[in-house]
Amino acid sequence: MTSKIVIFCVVGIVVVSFFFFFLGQKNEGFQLTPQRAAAKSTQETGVSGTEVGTGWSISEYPGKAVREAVDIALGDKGQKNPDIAIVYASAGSDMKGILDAAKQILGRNTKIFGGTSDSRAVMTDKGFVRVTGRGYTQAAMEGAKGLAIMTVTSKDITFGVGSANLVEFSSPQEMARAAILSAIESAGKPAEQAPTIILLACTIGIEEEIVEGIEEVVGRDALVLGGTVGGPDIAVFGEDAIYEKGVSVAVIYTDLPLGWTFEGGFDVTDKHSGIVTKVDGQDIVEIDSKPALDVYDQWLGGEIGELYEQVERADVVKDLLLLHPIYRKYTSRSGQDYFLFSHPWPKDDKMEDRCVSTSTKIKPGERIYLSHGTWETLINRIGNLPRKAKIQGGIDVAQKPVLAIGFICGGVMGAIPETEREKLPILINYTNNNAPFIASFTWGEQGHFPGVGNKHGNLLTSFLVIGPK
Amino acid sequence: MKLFWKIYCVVLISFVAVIVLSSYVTSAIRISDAQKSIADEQRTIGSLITSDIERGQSESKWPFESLKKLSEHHNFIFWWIVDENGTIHLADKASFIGSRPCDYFPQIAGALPDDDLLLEQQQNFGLFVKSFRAKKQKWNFWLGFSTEYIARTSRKIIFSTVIYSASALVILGLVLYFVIIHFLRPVKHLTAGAEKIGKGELNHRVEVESNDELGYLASSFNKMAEDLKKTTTSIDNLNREITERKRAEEALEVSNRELRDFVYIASHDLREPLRKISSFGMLLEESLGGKLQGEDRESLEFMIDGANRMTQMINSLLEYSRIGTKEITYETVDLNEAIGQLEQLELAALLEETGGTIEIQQPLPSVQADPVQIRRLLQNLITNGIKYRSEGIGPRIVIRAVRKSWGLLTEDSPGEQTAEDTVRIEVQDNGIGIEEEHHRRIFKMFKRLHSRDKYEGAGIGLAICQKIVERHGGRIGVESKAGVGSTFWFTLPASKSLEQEQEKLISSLET
Repeated sequence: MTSKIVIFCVVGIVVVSFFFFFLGQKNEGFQLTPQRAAAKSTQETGVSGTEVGTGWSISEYPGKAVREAVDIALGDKGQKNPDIAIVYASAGSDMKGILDAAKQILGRNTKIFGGTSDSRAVMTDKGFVRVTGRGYTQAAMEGAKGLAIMTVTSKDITFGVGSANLVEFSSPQEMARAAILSAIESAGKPAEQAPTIILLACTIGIEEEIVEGIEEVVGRDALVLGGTVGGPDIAVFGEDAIYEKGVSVAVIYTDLPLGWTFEGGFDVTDKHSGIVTKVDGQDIVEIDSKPALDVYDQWLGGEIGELYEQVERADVVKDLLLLHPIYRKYTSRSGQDYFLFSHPWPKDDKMEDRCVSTSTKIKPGERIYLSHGTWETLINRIGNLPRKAKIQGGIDVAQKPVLAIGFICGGVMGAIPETEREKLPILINYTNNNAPFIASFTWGEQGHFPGVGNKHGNLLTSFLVIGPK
Repeated sequence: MKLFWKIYCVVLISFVAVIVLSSYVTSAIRISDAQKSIADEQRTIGSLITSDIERGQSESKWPFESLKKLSEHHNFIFWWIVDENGTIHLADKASFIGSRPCDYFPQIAGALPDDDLLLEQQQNFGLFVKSFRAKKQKWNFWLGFSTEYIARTSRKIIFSTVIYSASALVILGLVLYFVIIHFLRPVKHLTAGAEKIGKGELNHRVEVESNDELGYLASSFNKMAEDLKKTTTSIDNLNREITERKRAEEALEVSNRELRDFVYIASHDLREPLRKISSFGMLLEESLGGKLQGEDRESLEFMIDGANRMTQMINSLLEYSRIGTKEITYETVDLNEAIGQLEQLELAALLEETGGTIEIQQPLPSVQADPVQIRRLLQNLITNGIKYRSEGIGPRIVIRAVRKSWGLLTEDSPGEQTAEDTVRIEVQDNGIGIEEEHHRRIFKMFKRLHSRDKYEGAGIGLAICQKIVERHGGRIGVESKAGVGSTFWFTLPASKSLEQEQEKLISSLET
């Protein structure tokens, strides 16, 4: 009996040992911890007499936020009162407080240009400042509020700023004329001397009128680049106040080489198109005399209707249409085609009203086309903006610009996955040779089509680079 | 049932060893295949990504969608695109960008490996590095991937293997139990049958359940039991016969003893009246003197003579009887010495009267015998040789231990004692000889070949010789032809001390 027990014990031990020998092989998981890359100096402009700095803050307190951002931007600069400060704060920030703080910190002689950026982010060459007001995770460059600032002091660049509050004028065009004239005057230039470039920060819904008003002063060939300040709580900086309906204009006079680009990142195929036959403000009511949303849905193969049936949420449909915008085609006198995109979305959350809203005013009789895009093409397009701008301006792509200013559609930014957005400044830095830049995320973009004029559109990017001598 | 458990345990342990070994080998192979498959997967993914990058670089386009999917895959830890200067240009996490791979992997010397590199790191981490060219620059794509999947797959493989093996062992254990029980059932029956037969149940038989070796064994067992039963019956009969024979022998012995006692008593008791007849007959002859004449005197002389012969016969009979009953005292008897004493004492007068000689050609060996009886044996044989001499020829007695007999005794007398412990003595005379037809008869009691007038004697001398030799465990015989002489021979146990004498004798014979 004892021998049987011993044998069974041996067999049992062998089996159990075999079991545990294998199952006991546990391993720890591996996690590679990123190291914060050393901040690269973007302060060297390569142009004597020109100092450009960028800074950022995530503080919710205007004074602290401006102080932090200015400290970063001016850092080791000799001139603590720059000629101009381009300031963008995430929508919902205390814009008046920021304006006052900037005036106080930088001095009354420093011109202030800017307004709100999309509530989700601001950006400089220092990084993508993600704003968590909408629930994003807190991290090093994430905060409830975001502020970005660019300071420029230059012998070679003359800045002027002007602003106007719509409530003080009878029309947006009149407001725009006042603002551009004020800016030119601020630059110390005569009214008839057109600026080298005009930067716009305007409020939503009156962009075409503002562009029209500016062109009435400086002509259609004047270079206008700008963006509709991002919301939802929008504001532009005035000289001593902020305007929820108004415009902030900055004019630049310089002999330095500059380049720009005004484009979207979508594929244009001309496969589907139609004539807008009825509009209501910025809403397209009919295309080819049919309900606009029906036509649009037909172009997309019924995808809009199917999606809405599934989710019954208009905002989801809006996100879908972000990657299928409509565009208008303009051909310059030289025969060059330019494409002006508009972001359409159902006007009615319940989809009963078959109008399609846009942030642009499309006139009846204009032909609109359907385009397509992916977030990958959009992010790559943004990464290539400096390169394209340099090429456009005849600046060597290998050359480091003095500065760059971008107006990037907030919708485009929204189309890019959250995890990928922080790569935007890295991609820009790569093609911008790590030169200082500032970018706001806008709800509409204005730019120039050579030979066509200045236009307002959506889902576009306006990008300016000023090169070295 | 010890045999069952021995077989069960041996087979079970063997199966456990085989299953454990095969499970180990199978698991190792499957795990190796899984590892290889996953490594190949990394290579494929790395190649796809780099080709995607290379393709997109002509349009300054990075494959963000593919890279993002890569980032989202749970098996991948990170990816880097490293430029020619060894700086991370693009990564899944922006915070990696601008740093250098060697900050994380100092063991990889240099920034840009020339060839594809696949490393298995510790902590379930693997690294794949692939070079590619874009924009006239050399780039590297670094892909860190988790090998936890391999470990997880390995655990699954091992777990399933162990479960299957354990289940197989349990099932096998049960199957083995019943199979061995089934096959050992005949053995169990055989064991029980053997126990019953051992207890005497010779009629018990086991059932032949199969046509294999065990069935054959059961058949053989039954046959053995049958034979055992028969043999036991024969032995019983034999024992019965032996017992009966022994009883007969004992009865015969008792009868012989009674007969010997009777002969002795009768002879002893007859001597007294015979002595009286003879004595009173002689007194009567003296007292009557010359008064008796003619037939009366002759009758008286016949009576006295008959009484005397009767006395002689009874004495011989008593002597024969004593030899048969008296206990033998074995001693080493030197035959040379014994014959010498006979020559000087008992036979001296006879030799002198007849002019006979006793010749011992070579020294005789010693024997283990009763010295009195052996002297009686030699005396009778020598006396016969002298008494039955041929007329006109002096009797010549030659005594020898024939050399032939030392080595060939066994051949001559199969079944006799071997030469090493037996002595053959021959007594040769030159007398009248004996017809061959009488060679056996002469050893019977009171057997005479010649009339008493011609040769005296009671006719019991050779019978006594035979009795002496047989009581010593030997044999006696004669080789003779009428008119040529006789050679009486007998065998006796040799003395152990004679070995040297034998050697001495052999060496003297050779010389």
